[in-house]
Amino acid sequence: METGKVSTIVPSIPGYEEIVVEAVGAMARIHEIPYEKLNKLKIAVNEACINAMDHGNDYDPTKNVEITFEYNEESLSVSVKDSGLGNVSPNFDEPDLDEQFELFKTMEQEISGWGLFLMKSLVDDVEIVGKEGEGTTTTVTILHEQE
Amino acid sequence: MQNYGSNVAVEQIGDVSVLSIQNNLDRHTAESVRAAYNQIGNGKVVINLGQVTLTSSRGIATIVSVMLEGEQKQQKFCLCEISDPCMLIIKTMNIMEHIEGVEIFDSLEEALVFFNQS
Repeated sequence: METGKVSTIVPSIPGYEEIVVEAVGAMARIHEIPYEKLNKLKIAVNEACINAMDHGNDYDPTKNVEITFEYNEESLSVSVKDSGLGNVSPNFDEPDLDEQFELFKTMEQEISGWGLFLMKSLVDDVEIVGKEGEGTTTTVTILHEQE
Repeated sequence: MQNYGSNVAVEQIGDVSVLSIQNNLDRHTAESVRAAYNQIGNGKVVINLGQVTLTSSRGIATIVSVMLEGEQKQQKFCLCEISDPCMLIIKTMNIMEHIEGVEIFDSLEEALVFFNQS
């Protein structure tokens, strides 16, 4: 299998994450990623894009999200880079749903904060690297199944 | 049939409100789900997720929040035709372990039969 890289840019506008997810589908077809693994990758990339557009770029349509697909014989990786401050401290812990649901019922506190745990659970690797003033890059990776 | 935005519709079938969602259950659609739910009176609600092609933790959290709100209003909920992307998040987050009294059915017909018998 060849090695390579494909990049694209989308604005921080709700809905544009769908373009990225469609591209994930196309890449997965080219690289014969099984259906179940593809679905997991799509959800993980969708989460990463929404995080980048929302938390990184505050849904400012003038700020872009850079997407890079990298593939080789072992894996397919998708990197999502925002234009934010780059000061991140990711927490991949499993959210306490009982506590969240109780707080929603008693104090109408929004149910949120599932994204990183979800990503970590669905793909083989997640890496989040922030560089101050340069933005945050989230990279999700799936490994090709060995025959 | 009442539409809310381009991705959400509510249909009344007997005493059951069927809230159907399609395409991307994103933040816009989540707002439409909330608007649709606010128009549904007390009673039985089926949420049909069969046509959801993409969703996120936020989208599923909106469905959960609607069901938790309904639980406090003594509403009864069923989920049906849960599409693969939705099911993936529901299972990964183990959501059904944390919500009481919500049934899941493969088809809308099965959900309606369940409500008619209960």
